[in-house]
Amino acid sequence: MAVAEQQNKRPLSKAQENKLGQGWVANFRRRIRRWALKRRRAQSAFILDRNNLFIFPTGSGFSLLLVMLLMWLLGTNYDNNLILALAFLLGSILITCILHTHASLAGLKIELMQIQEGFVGDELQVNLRLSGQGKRDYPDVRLFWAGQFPKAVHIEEQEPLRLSLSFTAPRRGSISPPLLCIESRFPLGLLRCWTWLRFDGETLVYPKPVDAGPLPASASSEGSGDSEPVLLEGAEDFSGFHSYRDGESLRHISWKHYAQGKGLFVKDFQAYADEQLWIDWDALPGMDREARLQRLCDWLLHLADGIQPFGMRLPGIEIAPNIGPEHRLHCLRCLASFEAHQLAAIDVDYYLEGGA
Amino acid sequence: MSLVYQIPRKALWWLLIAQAAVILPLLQHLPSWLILVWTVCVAWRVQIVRGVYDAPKAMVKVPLALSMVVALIMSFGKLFALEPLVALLLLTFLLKLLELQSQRDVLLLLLLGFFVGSTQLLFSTSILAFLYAVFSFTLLLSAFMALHTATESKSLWQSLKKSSLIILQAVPLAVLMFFIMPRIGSLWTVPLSSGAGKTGFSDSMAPGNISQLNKDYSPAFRVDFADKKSPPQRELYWRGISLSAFDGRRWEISPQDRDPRHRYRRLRQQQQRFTQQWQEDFTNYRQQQGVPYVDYELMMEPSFQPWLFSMATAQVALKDVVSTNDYLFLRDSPVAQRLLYRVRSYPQFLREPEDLSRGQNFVNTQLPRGFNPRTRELVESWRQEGSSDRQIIARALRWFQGEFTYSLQDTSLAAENPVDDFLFNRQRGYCEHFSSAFVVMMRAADIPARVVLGYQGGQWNDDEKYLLVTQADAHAWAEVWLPDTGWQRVDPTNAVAPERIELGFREYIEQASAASETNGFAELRQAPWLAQMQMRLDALNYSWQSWVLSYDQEQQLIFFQKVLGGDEHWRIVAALMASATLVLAILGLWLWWRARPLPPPPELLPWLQLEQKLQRAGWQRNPAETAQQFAERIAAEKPELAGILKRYTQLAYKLLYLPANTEQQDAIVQQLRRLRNSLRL
Repeated sequence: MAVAEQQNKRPLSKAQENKLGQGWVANFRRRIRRWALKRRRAQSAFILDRNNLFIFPTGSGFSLLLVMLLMWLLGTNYDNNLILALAFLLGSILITCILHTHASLAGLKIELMQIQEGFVGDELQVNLRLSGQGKRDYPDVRLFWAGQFPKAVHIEEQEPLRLSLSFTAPRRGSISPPLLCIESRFPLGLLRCWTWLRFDGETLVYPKPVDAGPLPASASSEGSGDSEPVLLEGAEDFSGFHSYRDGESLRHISWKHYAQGKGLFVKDFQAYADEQLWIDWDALPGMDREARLQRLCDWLLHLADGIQPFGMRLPGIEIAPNIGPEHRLHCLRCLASFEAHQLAAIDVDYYLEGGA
Repeated sequence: MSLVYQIPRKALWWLLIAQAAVILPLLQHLPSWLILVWTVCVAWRVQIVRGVYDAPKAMVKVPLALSMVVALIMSFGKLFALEPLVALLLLTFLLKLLELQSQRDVLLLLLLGFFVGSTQLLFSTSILAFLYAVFSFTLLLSAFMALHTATESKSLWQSLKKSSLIILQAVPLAVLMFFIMPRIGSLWTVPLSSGAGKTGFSDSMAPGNISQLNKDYSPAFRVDFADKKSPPQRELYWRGISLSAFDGRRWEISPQDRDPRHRYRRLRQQQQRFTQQWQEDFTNYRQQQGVPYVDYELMMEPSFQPWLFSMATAQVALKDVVSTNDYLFLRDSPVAQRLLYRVRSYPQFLREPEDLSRGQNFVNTQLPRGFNPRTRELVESWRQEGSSDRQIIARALRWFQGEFTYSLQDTSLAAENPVDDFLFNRQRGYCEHFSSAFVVMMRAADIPARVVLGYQGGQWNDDEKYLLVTQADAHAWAEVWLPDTGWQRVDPTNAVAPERIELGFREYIEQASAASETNGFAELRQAPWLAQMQMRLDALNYSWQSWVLSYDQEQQLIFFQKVLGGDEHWRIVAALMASATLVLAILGLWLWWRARPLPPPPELLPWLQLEQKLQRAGWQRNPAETAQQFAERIAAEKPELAGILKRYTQLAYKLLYLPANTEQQDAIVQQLRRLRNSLRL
């Protein structure tokens, strides 16, 4: 929501990669989508109805209209009432299809369940739940992010459908998915009924890790001036067992217990941390913010794989040394949202035309 | 990277089925080798789909298409007529099958199918043909649906079911449009069917013409009398053309009138300049008080001739029609479509009683020199015996009555003097022989006489109250001119076989063939049940024709005035909009009703009610949150609610898993209600 509001205040900039292409038709369509973007209120659940559905004939629809016109000419010139009747039948079919095509989306409920977090450039999964209304199915619903290939689904009567669509994370920080287009051409493909949905759900995107080499030695000893040793988990001296938690390294699993069928246990080690590992902002002088964050992220991922506890220092933020999946996530999120308010807003065309 | 487009398999099957349905009725009108082309195209397409053959290259396609067009022109001898043009369209429709490289191509093929499917109605306008066209449209729509539905439909029939439903729903609006959409006449002239003129009679009469027609029970026209009653059979003489020129064998229209377009223009010009005497007489007669007349509407099947039929002496209300000086009607163009016109006939009007113009007199008494000498001799001898005109007529008729027999058997007359041969040797024949011989006899006696071609009688359809006149009712009779009475109808056939006239042709055949098997009537006889069924069918056809086929500008005007009270534009637009809105509203309501939200299951209701209450207070459950998570989230913010919410959630969960309609369930629901009411937000 916040991102989108920034969009509207900033002047619109040109997308580097232009999915809609050039020409007045493309410009016209872009204009319509911008209008749609402004008009759509971001929500996490939508029920499609006549307030948010658009409908317009497709190329096939217009061609059928042309055939109808030709048949009308044929019937008129030959004074043939039956051909005229057939021409009117075609016209009537086209009109009837307006109702059918509209009904093929009307009442559909789309809920945003969850958006996956990930690194810049990753494909992020968006979990959606689609449920129909009433005693009917929705045979041909297509969903796609602006500018991408559609995915067609069939929603059965009274059976909500869960599906995930992925989009490419455009930049670090908090982001919302692009506009989601839901369309249907059912039954005859003569008309297209569609709508653009703007989800208010946000997710965090971590910096893309860039190889920064080994952690500098200075980083590890710095700050150990206060001689008080800290008791830490994950050091060398064996102190006991705890049951395995998701994401823990397999290195310390007690395979003996496992072989005896007692389940997965992990050996605990205790050590006095005379040597503390720090991922430190100041260890990378002379780089801009994003470049630093990318390298910090790389160190973070490496250290999180190890068994040594580590801490993280960013300007104004210090995370105490620790180890484990929760710590890793905490650090990643910290990197993701660091100085987020200073991040460049996402280009509006990203929302209009999908990730580059 | 180029992707090869794959037609959805179901769409291809529907396409082939629909194409077959569209083509079938056309094949009977077009060259038979098109079937071969079709078979080859289908086989090739199937092989392409199976991956056996490649799609044809341009080097194959272009010469193939060109040679087909040449073959078409050679088959027909021309291109700019209806059949060759339809055949060309059909050929495109077939050959396109070889070139389906994108969805667009398939689409084009299907759209072409709609157009080709409607052309069969240029050849036949029966109910069956129309229903068949609608059926083939349904198949095309099924192909459309299979082409455009990305998800797999359950079965091949699914799309047929749905497309039939759409067509059915589209019918009411189509009917509205049919009756209300304004009709405009032809915008330009179009090539007509070259099969024209194969039915109906021609503009000349030689022995054998009419007996050919008598085997044909197809309708010539139908008559709807204003008083829903038919005059007696013997008065039903439907005059078409009169033939005055005789070359000894064949009767024709007089030479200066033989080109109907020319004649039409000439008559029109003449009548615009000044009113003819004979017209004035007729007008004066009509204006008299109390003259008897018969009102009727006549619906003519296409005859591909410019003449209209009427009973003597008629006044026809139709534009582009002139009356000729023999009180007949000529149209500016051949009747190529069904034509409906209103007629008022004055049976007692005397045509030209005072005097016959010199030209008329000459034309209607001329006989070729040297032909039929025995006939001339006979009539001249009667004259010498002092017989008057009327006596000569009576004598001739008596002679026919006494010596001649009516027969449908093919009577080939001598080429030299056919009338002599007929009168003195054969003495058996058919209406054309009798009328021809009779008029020759009259002319030999210097009595102006002519042959009239038309229909006699008809079958009365008692269910629908109309008269059906078939080609089998074609008839030829004579008209003679006598001072004081003017032109008078004399039917020599009536003298020979009065039953033929009294009963009508079909009845007569029934009786005559029952009496004797030798007259050649047996082969014309129909089983009674067959005849009855034909009448029923014709009644249906008649309703179809009067309501659907002949609904034109004029009928539409009547409809507007009757139903809408006028034909102003605003009325038409308003009627169309209002009725279309009504039809669509009904359809929309039905669609809405089908998709209306169902009430939530009762065991979920207490939870939903709580959610509503919380929502009013500003708490919204995220779609991904479970009930428990939601409750916990609120409890974290408002610890004082924690107890109630926890209890409520537990009970709501419990409710979900209890068997329905038990006392236990009711108790929990009660408990939940109390809890909900005690919740202060």
